[in-house]
Amino acid sequence: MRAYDRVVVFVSALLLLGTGAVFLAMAFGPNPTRLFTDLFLTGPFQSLRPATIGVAAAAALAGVYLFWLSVRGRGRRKPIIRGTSLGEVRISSLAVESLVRRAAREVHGIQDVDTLVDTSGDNLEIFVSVVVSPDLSIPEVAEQIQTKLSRYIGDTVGVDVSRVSVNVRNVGHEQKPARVV
Amino acid sequence: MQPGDLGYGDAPQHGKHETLGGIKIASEVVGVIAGLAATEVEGIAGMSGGIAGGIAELLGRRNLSKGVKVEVGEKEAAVDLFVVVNYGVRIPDVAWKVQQNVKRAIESMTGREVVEVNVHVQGVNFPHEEKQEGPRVR
Repeated sequence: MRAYDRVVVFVSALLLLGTGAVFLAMAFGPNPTRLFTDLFLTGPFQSLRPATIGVAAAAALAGVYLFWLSVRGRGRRKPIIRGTSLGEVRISSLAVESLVRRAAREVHGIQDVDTLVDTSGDNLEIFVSVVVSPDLSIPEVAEQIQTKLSRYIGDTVGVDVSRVSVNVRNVGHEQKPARVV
Repeated sequence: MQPGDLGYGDAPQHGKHETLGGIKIASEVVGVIAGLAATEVEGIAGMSGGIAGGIAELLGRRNLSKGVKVEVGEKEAAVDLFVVVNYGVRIPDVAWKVQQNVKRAIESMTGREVVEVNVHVQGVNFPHEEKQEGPRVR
């Protein structure tokens, strides 16, 4: 989730809370239908009318944005599209993800990899969630993953990698040589 | 016999009637030509029939044309190819070779000018299958 998504979600949550409170107040208030008008348009908060309108507009905008987010939700599933003089080359995000998994697994100390790629921008954004072997410096391993992925994926897919986010999900068991054959 | 009665399957193209009659080329034929031309490029593991269970299905050589969508007109043709590439190749390079090879093959065999070759890389083929981490002790 990006920073501004978080802000929108936060604001929407506040607004929902507020709306809920207002509706409850209206439902249990002495004169439910008039309460809003009394309070915000003619009553004590009359002077705050521009602010009220502002909040309402923000609520509407947040609603539109959230709606768009939910519709767009599959954005990261978009293929990477590159044009050539003979047509288009589309690389499915599934293909990119399997490349990322494979490449990350080749880094020493990586036991398991889950990945997501965001192809919605001009550049590629990669998220990997890994399980590392114990007794390794996690920052070093993470950095190796970042270097390897940005170089390897940038090269094979032909698109610049703008970010590689590494989430170390867990530390795995030590991989000892088999005790039994 | 009507021009459309030759039973060429999904989309026989109605050739323009010139002095000796038009030539129709079934899109199926162009699909096979395109599939063969694409799979002979080094780095292409095969054509893909679609995605099943999160993995791009790899088509055998018998139904190559399933991984190709073709539009054939009287003079021009456009194709969409769904392919799986081998691990380790540079995708833009391979895709470019596919585009050139397919264009050349279709043009030389059908006389249609190929206006567009779109390559859809559906998946990546690894030399030996990725396995779940098996038991560490065998």
